[in-house]
Amino acid sequence: MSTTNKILSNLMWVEKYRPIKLEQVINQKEIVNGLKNLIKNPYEIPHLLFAGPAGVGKTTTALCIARELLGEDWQRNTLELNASDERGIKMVRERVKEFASVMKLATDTNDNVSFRIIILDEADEMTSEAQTALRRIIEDSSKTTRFIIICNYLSQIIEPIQSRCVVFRFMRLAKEDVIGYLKMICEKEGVKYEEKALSQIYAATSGDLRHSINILQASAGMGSVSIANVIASIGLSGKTKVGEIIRSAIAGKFNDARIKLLELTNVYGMSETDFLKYANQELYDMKLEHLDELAALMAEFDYRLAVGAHPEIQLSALLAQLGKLGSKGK
Amino acid sequence: MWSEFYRPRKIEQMIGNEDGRLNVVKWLSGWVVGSRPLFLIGPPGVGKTSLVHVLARQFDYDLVELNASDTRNREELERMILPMLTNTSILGKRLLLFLDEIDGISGREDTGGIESIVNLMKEPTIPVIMAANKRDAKFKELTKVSKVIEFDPVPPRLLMLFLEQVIKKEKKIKKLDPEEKISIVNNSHGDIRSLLNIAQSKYAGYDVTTQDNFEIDIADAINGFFSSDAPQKARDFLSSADASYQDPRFGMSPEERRKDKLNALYSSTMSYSSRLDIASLSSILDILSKADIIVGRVGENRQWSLLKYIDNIIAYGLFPTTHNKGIKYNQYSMSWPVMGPIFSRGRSMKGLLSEMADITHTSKSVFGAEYFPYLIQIMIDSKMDPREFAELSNLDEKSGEVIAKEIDRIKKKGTRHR
Repeated sequence: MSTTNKILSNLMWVEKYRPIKLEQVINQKEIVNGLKNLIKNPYEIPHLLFAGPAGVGKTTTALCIARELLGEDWQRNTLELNASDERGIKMVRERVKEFASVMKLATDTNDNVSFRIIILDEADEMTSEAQTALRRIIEDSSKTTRFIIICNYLSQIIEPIQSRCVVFRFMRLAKEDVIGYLKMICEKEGVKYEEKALSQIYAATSGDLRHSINILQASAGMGSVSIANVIASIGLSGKTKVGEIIRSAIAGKFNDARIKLLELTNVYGMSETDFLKYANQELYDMKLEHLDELAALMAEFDYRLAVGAHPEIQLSALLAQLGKLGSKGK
Repeated sequence: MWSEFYRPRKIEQMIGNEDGRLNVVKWLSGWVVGSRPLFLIGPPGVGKTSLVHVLARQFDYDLVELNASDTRNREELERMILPMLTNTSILGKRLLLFLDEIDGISGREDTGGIESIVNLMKEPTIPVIMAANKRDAKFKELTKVSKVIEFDPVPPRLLMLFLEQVIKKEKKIKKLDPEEKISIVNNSHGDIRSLLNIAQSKYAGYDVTTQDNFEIDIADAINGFFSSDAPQKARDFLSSADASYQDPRFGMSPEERRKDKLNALYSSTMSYSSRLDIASLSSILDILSKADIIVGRVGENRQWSLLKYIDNIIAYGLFPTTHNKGIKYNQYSMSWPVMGPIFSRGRSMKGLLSEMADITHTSKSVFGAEYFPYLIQIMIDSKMDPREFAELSNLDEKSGEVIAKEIDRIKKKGTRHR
């Protein structure tokens, strides 16, 4: 595991510059201070719930806490789960319950913490049935386990879980903080950058630091961080591919859109909810005429996807509806 | 009600599954404390419940039965079962516990039900028999700790003999001709209870078998559906398909997928989509999408009663747009030359995505969208050998190959400089 991290962090800046300690996490000062105070007394640490947009450091903060509380052995005593990959009750019952039922081994005499940590990422993707099952496990295993639950939208976490955790709301990163961080990386890596190109990155990612650093490195690979290179690098992301699908659909190229969509979900593992999320951002950026109708359409299919049983049918139906709206404009 | 009247009173009166019955008798007569519980798995109406009732009588046990009408969450089960397991001597009678309709234990209402049965069944102090209609992933653990005996549908030959007996006993004046008897046997699909119900209704003057009981293959049903000249006929084809509305979110075998009506309608219309205009496409898909919402609700809340509306919604909804278009059944929603390579790439990427999602502390979906394309580009720029990367990172040996192929694709396309 650790060798893997080394290879990847030699290769990718996003891993190389991922904070290891709480104080390295940027722009979430109140949160960091609050958490530092909480972990001063590890025995009394409550379950934590982190809510906020993508790429602002929720998972990284959780990993920092695990490291600081559990020391060198942290990886053995931490279970990381991503509900976007397994959203059902099975995941809770099989993996969470099993891990939570095992006491931490007292391997290290310096150990001052007697529990293990479960980081449950993208928990708002869990079905309500799974969340309900989780609620009991949180209670039953509080002697052995601390939970760090991470989500984008707090409202999609059931109340009983919220009430069992201390909630931290992560804010969108400010422009100057993101740009400052990108500049720091450029300087350490000896890369030339244009100020405007960095602004371009921020605008494209809405402050998602993970995505920003990836764009920065891809641009640097082309020679320098210039506006042209940044635009080309933004084009690499899955979000851009979603944008192309949406454009094809609106232009009435239904089959093209459907084939590209299948590639995205089947080959690159994009979840249907992520597809809608990116599609919504892209639609907004396209500044189209019927944005009100488009937004209503997206909301409708967000709902249908959540309650329906065949995601492929729902997304194809959405593409066809986009085509219908597009043909109206002609 | 014939199906109750003709319930067997003795084991010898039962028909079908001779070996299964013999094994059950052997199990009960050889039962000692600590013996594994028995798990009977078989389709409805082959005599599982009847066998247990008859056994209890013949072996002189008091039968305690819990079925789907009882709430069976963890608390309830433990409250009811634990006293039986621990206080058998106080009750003074030999108890036989029968947990019927195990597959009816609801994931939603009966939280922890199956798990608690697994725990309770580890060291049973009384004989326990469980029954379910088919194997299901949700009680896989339970089958591991039990002795499983499978029951099969009763063969037509035996059903016919049984039917003759019943007819004799009923001393009906009215005679059934051979075709009528064959039709009753065929329509009961190896289910004795169903056989009795059909026979009784036939004598009552109502012929169930001519209703929609004959089933046709999904391909013929879909072809009939799209070539019908009236929505009622289209609906009849849909209703008679040997298929149903399924919820793929709970996993699906290729055969279940083939017999999923909504999927068959979707793949058939989509394989024809290049010949439909956008207005027709959006109308067809909107109807399938709305039907899918109902399927989703059925799966989520088990509101089976909603299923009866779907055939109508689809038939009357699609008819105006799809009739006379020449749409034919197709199992695939895209032509295979397009779909095949995507699926095969998908299969080879699967392992890599989950390995890399773990390493980068994110989901497969986010890794695929926000890391992977950049990782590929960075590897190209830094001239890193993907096989070496995979090896040094302890990835699966196939992963290096998969990354190498993706790199070749990107190089060929040269998408970066637009």
